[in-house]
Amino acid sequence: MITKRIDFKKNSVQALANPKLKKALVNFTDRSRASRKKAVSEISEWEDLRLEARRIKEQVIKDLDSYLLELEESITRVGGKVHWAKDAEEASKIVATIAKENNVRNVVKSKSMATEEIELNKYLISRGINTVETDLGEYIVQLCNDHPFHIITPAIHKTKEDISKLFSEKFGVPEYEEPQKLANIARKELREKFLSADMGISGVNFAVAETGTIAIVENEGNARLATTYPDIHVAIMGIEKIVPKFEQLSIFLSLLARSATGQKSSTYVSLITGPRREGERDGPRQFHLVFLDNGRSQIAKSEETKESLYCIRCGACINICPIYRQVGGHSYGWVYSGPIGAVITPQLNDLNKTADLPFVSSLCGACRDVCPVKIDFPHVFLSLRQKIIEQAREKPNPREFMEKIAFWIWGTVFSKPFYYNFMGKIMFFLQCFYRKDNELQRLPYPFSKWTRDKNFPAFSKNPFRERWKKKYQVKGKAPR
Amino acid sequence: MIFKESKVLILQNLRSTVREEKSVKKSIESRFFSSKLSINQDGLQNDFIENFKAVSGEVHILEKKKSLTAKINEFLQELDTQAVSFWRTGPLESLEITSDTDPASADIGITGVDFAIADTGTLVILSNTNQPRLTSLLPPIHIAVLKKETIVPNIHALFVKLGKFYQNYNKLCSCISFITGPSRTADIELNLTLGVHGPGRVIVIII
Amino acid sequence: MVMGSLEKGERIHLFISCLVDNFFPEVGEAILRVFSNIGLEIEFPKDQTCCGQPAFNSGHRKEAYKVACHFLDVFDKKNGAIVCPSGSCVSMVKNYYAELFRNDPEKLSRVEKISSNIYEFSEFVFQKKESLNLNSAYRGKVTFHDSCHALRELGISSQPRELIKSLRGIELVEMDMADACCGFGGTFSIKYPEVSKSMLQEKTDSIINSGADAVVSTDMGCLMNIKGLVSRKKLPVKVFHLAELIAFEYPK
Ligand code: SF4
Repeated sequence: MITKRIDFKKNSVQALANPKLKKALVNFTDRSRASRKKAVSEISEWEDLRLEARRIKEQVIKDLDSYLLELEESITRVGGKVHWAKDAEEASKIVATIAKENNVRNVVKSKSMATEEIELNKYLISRGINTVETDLGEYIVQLCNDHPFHIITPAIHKTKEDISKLFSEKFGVPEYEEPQKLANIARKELREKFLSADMGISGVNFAVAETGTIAIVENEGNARLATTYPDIHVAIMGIEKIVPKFEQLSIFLSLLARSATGQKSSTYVSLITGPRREGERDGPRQFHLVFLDNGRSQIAKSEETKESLYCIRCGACINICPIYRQVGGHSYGWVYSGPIGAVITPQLNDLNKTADLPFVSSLCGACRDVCPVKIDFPHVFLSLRQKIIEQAREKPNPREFMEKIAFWIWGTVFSKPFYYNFMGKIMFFLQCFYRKDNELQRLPYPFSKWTRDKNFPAFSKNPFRERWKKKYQVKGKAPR
Repeated sequence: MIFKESKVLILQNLRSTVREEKSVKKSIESRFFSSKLSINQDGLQNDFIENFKAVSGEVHILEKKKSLTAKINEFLQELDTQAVSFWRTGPLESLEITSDTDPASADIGITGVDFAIADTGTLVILSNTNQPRLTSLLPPIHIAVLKKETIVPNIHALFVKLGKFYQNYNKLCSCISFITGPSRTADIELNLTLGVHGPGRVIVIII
Repeated sequence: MVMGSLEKGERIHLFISCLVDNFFPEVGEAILRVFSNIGLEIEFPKDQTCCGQPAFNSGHRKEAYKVACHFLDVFDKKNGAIVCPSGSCVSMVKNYYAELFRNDPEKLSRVEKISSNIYEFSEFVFQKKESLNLNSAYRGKVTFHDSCHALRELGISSQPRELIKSLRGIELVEMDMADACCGFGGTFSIKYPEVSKSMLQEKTDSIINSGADAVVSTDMGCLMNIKGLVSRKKLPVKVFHLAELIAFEYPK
């Protein structure tokens, strides 16, 4: 939960001032865009897959209640246990209670945005349960007490040098620069954690209502370890993650790998159906699945924005976003960043504290073009903006008040040709204080924000409508 | 721990009218078949090899006259280890290897493969009492023995196969693992590094 | 009206957009030169102002509604195509009026009629290119910036490029990431000027790196933004609306 207002402006200005970060971001977004593009162009059925995925998601969110019940039934049938959590607090409590009941001391976690969302680590650690992130990026982030920078690649804001210093401090090894060596160190450290863990916690990429199967997608193998080695496996899923039929997984798995990292397939996909079976030598003995609502059922009710729940967390919208490319993940102030963050964070939290975010878009629509489930981002942004403005109408802060007045004037002037013409004339005279070479170089607030970096065009003495009247109207034609 | 009210609350929020069972198309296979896919088994094998190598996997085809045991012993010699953990099912049943190590301390894990996907270079492994999950996961090297006839064109075809195999999925195994090459990460400045948690080498022997 | 062919004395209605009207009337005049060269009869409904997009995009729907109603009143009795030199205004009418007027069935049917009949400048001219016979006096290399709304909401990408390529003496060179947003985004550029500037900087960098001596686009929103930095920093590149390039003439 967000407790303090997210100040995107402040955050972004800070991020923009960091040239190292900018370099990393350009490098990262260039590469991920190119590999996605290539992977998508390889299969001719791409658009069909997107359409089908979208159709399935529409169906799921529409009838989410009955799909959740079906999933619960399936999970129970295969020997797992389902827990319902209405918010972050409840979800964390559920996990902690399972841990306590089984005397769990050491927990290994694989990457999961749902657990980031509820800050599960903090909760467990404060109750004396050792909790270690095992995805390399997340592990690095956890070691420096930082937050993930991206939902797929959490540590892209850290350089090799940062990481080698960090490892050397924490593990007393020399400062290796080679990524392979660093990865080997992490492997060694984390392997010990796995072998002594009594509980593994994972997220869920997809959950099949029909069979009670959860799909976990990854490249490193840490999720396989966390869901196989320890005796207890607890998976936490946002309630929107449902897929009705087992065979529909093929559609979502193709879309996810190609959209997220430009791979044809992620290195590992685990389709887990319940705990280990009678006679099996490995796999967890207990399997728990936590349904996390945390605001999602409210989103499902909103006709205008419920498509935000179709998201499969591939990160493609983030990678393509020209704003993310400038400011990176932390500017968005919460777990989710980029376009999906800008629409989902305000809906899962107090809108007043997150009202900056829906305005963090130039409405360029690049995100909509790449989204595998075709979320119409501009539409969602616009609906949220409307909601914010209408809420703010009741008791606006000074800036909002000014904006309101400005648009009121604008609306009045622009709906009456007489005022409109008149405004042109007034503006032409007013601007003479600021004009230079037919451009405006320094305007008063709030336009100063524009003219600080660039010139603004001057109102023409002879706007087009006048020229038309004088020169062309009679003939209805331009000369020649 | 049970939050009884939460379930009621969530369902209340979501309450919809009667669920609409839009027909799930009988077979997704035909609609999502890329035109470029090979159809015969030789073509599929070639596609698989190409794609598996593209993700840093290694592929060997078992020579006609050689036994699987001999081939694997070659690897053990080359890698200079006897710490092996292996399955004893299918083609591996007749494997004559003396040592059998716990996967946590083995240098090599040897498993069979239930299906493979040609156009992604993916091995598909089902878990059961004879096919433990850790054999392909804990050791730094994974040797997988793949029967050529189990290669399917793409992921959609695989799910159709699984559907037939499981007949309505009533007896799904506890874990189906898809393995596409060695364990990898790009978390350090996007540099590709192998073997960060799972095996750093995956060697497929096609028989 | 049959697209692609030209009926004698075909009449079009020009929606000039508030930006061109007030700030860039020369662009409007260039458009007139292009249209009359094609042989179109032009009507300029004199009470027009704006499509309402600035308020709509900022969440101020009431005001957007007011201005959009005025737009409907001015344009919905017109027969013949409405043409506008800005993709984002066209997209506003075509794609978003339906949402703005969704509780207003009477207006909705008027919207339907207008949206099937409104065209962005370059897509319209492209349809009529057989009748266009104008020799641009411009000589040199130009690069094309895709305006987001024309590209992603109207699907316009090849038409302006084809038009540029058909001009004699002008070479089209593609810049890196021609389809990346220039950072304008209406009030976005005022709300988050630092981010907007950083995006614009990247855009002007790729314009300069393309080696072109002019950048061309089809939307004065983007061009106003790009021009703002170009002239502030005195960058060695000219900024044109496509119409200005097609109808370029040396000042007499
Ligand atoms: S919104 Fe779409 S593109 Fe963005 S992460 Fe979700 S699924 Fe991927």
